[in-house]
Amino acid sequence: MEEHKISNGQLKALIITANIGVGILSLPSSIADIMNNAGWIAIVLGGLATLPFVYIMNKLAEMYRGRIFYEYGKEVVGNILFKIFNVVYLTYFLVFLAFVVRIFGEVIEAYLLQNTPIEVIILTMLLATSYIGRSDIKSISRMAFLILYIIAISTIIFVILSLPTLDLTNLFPAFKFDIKDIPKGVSTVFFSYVGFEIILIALAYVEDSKSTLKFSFLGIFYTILIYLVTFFITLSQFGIHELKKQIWPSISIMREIELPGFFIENLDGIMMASWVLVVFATMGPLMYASGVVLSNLFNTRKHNFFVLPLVTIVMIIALIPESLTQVYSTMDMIVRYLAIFAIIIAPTILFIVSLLKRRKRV
Amino acid sequence: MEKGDPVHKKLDKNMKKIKDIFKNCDDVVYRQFKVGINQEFSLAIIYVDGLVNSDAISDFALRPLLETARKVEPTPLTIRDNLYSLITEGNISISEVKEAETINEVVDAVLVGETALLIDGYEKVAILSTRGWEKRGIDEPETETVIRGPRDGFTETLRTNTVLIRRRIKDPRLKVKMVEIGERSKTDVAVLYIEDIVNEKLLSEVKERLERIKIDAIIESSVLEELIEDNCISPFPQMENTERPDSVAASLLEGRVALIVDNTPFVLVLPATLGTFMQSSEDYYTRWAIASVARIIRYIAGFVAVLAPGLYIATTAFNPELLPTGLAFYVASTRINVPFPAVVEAFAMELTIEFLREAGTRISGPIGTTIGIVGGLIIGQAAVEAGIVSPLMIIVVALTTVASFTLPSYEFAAGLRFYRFIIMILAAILGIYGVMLGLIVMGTHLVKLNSFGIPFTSPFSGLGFKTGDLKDVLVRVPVSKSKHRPDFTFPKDKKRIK
Amino acid sequence: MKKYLIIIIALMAIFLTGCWDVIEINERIFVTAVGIDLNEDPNIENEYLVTYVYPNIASIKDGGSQKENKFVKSTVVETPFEGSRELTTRLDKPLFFRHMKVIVIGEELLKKPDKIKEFFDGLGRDPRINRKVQIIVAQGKAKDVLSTKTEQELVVGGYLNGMLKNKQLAARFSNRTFSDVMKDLQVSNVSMIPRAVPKKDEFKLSGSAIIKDYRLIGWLGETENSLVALVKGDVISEIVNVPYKDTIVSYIISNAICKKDVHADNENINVDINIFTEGYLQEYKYEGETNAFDQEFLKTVEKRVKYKIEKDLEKIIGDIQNKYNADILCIGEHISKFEPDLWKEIEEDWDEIFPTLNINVHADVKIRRTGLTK
Repeated sequence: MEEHKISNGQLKALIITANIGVGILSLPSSIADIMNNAGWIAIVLGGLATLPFVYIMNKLAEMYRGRIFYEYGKEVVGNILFKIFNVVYLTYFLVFLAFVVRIFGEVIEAYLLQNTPIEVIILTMLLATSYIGRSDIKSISRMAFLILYIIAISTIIFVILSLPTLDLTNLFPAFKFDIKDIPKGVSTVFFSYVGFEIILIALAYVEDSKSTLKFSFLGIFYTILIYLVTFFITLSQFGIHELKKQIWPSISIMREIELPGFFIENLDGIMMASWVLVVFATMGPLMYASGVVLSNLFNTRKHNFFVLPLVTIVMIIALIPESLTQVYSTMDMIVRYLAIFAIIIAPTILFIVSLLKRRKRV
Repeated sequence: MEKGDPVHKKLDKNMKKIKDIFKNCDDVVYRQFKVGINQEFSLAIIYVDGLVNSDAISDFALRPLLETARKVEPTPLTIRDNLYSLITEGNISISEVKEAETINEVVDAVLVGETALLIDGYEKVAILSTRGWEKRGIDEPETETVIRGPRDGFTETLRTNTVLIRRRIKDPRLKVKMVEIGERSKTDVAVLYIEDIVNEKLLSEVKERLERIKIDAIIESSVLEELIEDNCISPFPQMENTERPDSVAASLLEGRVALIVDNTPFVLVLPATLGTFMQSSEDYYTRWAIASVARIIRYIAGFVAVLAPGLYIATTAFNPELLPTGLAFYVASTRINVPFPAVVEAFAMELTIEFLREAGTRISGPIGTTIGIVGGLIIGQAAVEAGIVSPLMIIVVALTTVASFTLPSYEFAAGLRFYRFIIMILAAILGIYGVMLGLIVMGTHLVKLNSFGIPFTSPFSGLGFKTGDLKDVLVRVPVSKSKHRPDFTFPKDKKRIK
Repeated sequence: MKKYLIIIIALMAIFLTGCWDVIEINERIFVTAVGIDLNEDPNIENEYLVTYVYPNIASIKDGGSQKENKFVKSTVVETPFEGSRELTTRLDKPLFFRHMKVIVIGEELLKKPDKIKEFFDGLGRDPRINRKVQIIVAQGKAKDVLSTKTEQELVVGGYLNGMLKNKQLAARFSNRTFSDVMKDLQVSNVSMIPRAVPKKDEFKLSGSAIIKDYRLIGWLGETENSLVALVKGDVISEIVNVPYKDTIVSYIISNAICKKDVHADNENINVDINIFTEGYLQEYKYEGETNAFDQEFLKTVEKRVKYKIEKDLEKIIGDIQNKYNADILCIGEHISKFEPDLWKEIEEDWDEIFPTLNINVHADVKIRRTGLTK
């Protein structure tokens, strides 16, 4: 009935689920390291900082209605320059994918499957995700919609379950912070909000293009909300000192929940299971996007056959770092710089150039 | 001489041609007779024994011709020119009379159960509608019973089936469009829809797909289903099939299209979504609160049916930390002397259940129940007592099977069964992570599936979610609250109650 | 078609050689409690004596017909986490720690802060060990505590675990989980860990050990513990006995709230501890004219209880300020949360400042009910 159209609700779901990836695991701890109990301020600010770029992306989609970023970009900055842009985007997507899947593998390895080689975990995840990476944006947004509601319900359940063991006094002092720390805090957090650049492609397919801006913003707000809740819960549960020492506090926290009267113990397995869905929701759109970029580079109509070869490339990149520390330092930095390009630099350039062109024409 | 040839004036020539075509069809009956005061006009009737209502022929066709025609004294002129119309319009008492001008048409008509009346000297053949054959009486459908609700079910005769629908929707806007499909079977298929509700695009899509079919025979509606569905490789059905007229009538009122296929009581209803597969007519005949609870239980059962054996394997063989301590110890204690690893146990039990299921479908009646007892009690119980299988495994497998039977649609449960095996295999290799992978793959597959362009996972995945389709899918709100038709069919007229 | 075949074969090759993590559930040993001691046998070189307790799974099924409900195994090792490896020489199945409930630390070991720091670090790092394990200190050797045979043995969770959760009636000990202990030690360097005293046929959980800087510096008795628990808000129910005329009146606390208030003036830092308790009268003396239903009587008893609580608590505070210099009342934590500026100033000198704190206790006792009789 609807040819290649997605709804606004699905757009919002895409943004939220693509954003919440591996960042949510380490976010409370990394921000607590910098800003202690006042880390929530950085979380909120970081989220708000993405809004201008979301706005730019929406405006660009409005100007070139019905066409995806990788298509109309050629017109704006010229073929050759845009091809370079495309290559950078491709690299960004691939390295980001490798980063996410590597961390994913490490977490699964640590908590669930100690003896299974990490290559197997990474490969199976990549293959399972490539299935949806090869479909069209319609299926991906439907999946995002489904996963969003599953995540929402599990978050609510998990909050309710942890209420008995919470110690809200651990949140204090909540307002004590150093202004100098804020930039560093925001830059740490900003990276967790990355993932929504999928809308560069998705916006072209939305049915009701008038309200996309509202729903995009809503998507970011809900992401902020989820991160805040995670931060508060982990902080209340662990206290500031322990929180700083944990690498993945969001998972450890599931262990803390114990209601023996209700037969609820060791819930970390279930948390892990739903987290697999979250990572999948981040990786799927990324694979799709890399396929689309390649298909635009080579001028093909469909992007399917690019995805499987990309799986091998991503796997190789994912296995390059030798240890988790290396992943979090080197790879993290590379992805960060690429992300700055992909989210901030490229869309802004296109936006400004398009505006100038419009003005010239008038 | 070809079949498509026109009817000849001479009766003998026509008879010879027809007899030639029907060579070795000994069930075709030829009756030649003469009418007229002086018996000067030769007529012949041809029909297939068993397909026709013999009384109709003898009472309403032969008798008027043989008796009354004798009594009347037509003038020679009128007779010569107009015998044909005189007979067809004046004498024959059968309600439906058509004309045929080619041998082809005559043959086809005879094969459908109509009687051909050939008149010597005329190039037209009268086709009398005399259909009547042995058919099953209207009975309660065996596969879909309800506690409260109508007990009539479709039969193998198309006309009976359309009647059952007509009786429920006495609206001239309910359209019944006949189509013939199949080169040799020439199966009649009726397309039913309500004109001012159904979406135009859906209707034209259905018609187009029906026209595209090239096949020699449609034996059952499932063959038709396979030929027109979006994705025939998927283990999940994309159209509902039902034996219940009330279900079809309700679906038509939602803006869906029904396909009645001759020779089978199973009627196809499309489009179908995950939500509709979980609905059963019984929900609407019981009180809403109970019905809502029942629906939610169905969803839980669906999950159990897919996940239970996989979870069993994952928790016993890989990650016992997922279980609460007491349960983990208990499970360990039940498995102490079992010689097989959990994986083998699970697969063996699933295989056994599949054997039982197959055996049960082959044999029905008293032997079938025996199989159930033999399987359940003897094999299961004995296995546990012999210590080959742990009792928890039996419970898991039994629960899974029962859970899959709570789903209203047998085919849909079969699709879930397929994924259950995949998840079990993945669980056997990668534990709970494997289970999640299996769910992801299944989820992706479901999400990609379309039913005539409608996303299969509506209303859970966007379409109709915000506009309240869930009211009728996840729970069942009282009739007074469901004023609008569901969204997924894109109906033209959204209001049910004005 | 060929492409699919290759993919399938490749996948099969990976997966069928796999199942790396499969261990049948009945092939695991579920360790429920671990004890760790300082090795005192001079013949063996290694430092630690580790004891593992695990249930006899078969006894669950047979319902007690087995001889033993649990097994205890000890081994001497260089680092605590080597224990499970060393035991591979003596056990037929791998040890599984995910359902571990209790860790018992021997008294002697707690006098060596470095060792404790290593051990705790390992506990925190290990993904297999739940942070909610209960930690207790054994007066004596952990091995003795774990080896005592108790008459009614629960396989699941163990007797010890059950005892630790048994705080409905009294607060003679405050159970602490590993994460609680770590938290306390991080904030104020001080923690309280329940003490287990092994006896011939049973063991007692009475009072706590005071840990400062990862070292055992003293013990708190049972009653002292219950009062400290009052301050920390850990009490569900407790009893206070006060003399009245010639009898002893018992007051049962059913609800206790404690609020701390810290303010600093020029010289000192004043800490007000406000305790508010509600309860009922348990026991008086049955005589003709006694009437516990009398307002005056109740007020007198309330005052006496209040006096007792305040005095006893002040004595304890005196001890912890001067004798032990250990902030087990979590005053430091309170300051760090609610007066962060103050905390920043005094954080580093907390050790010196703590004894100088002016701590006042105010108790507000209310008797709500007197039971069924007057």
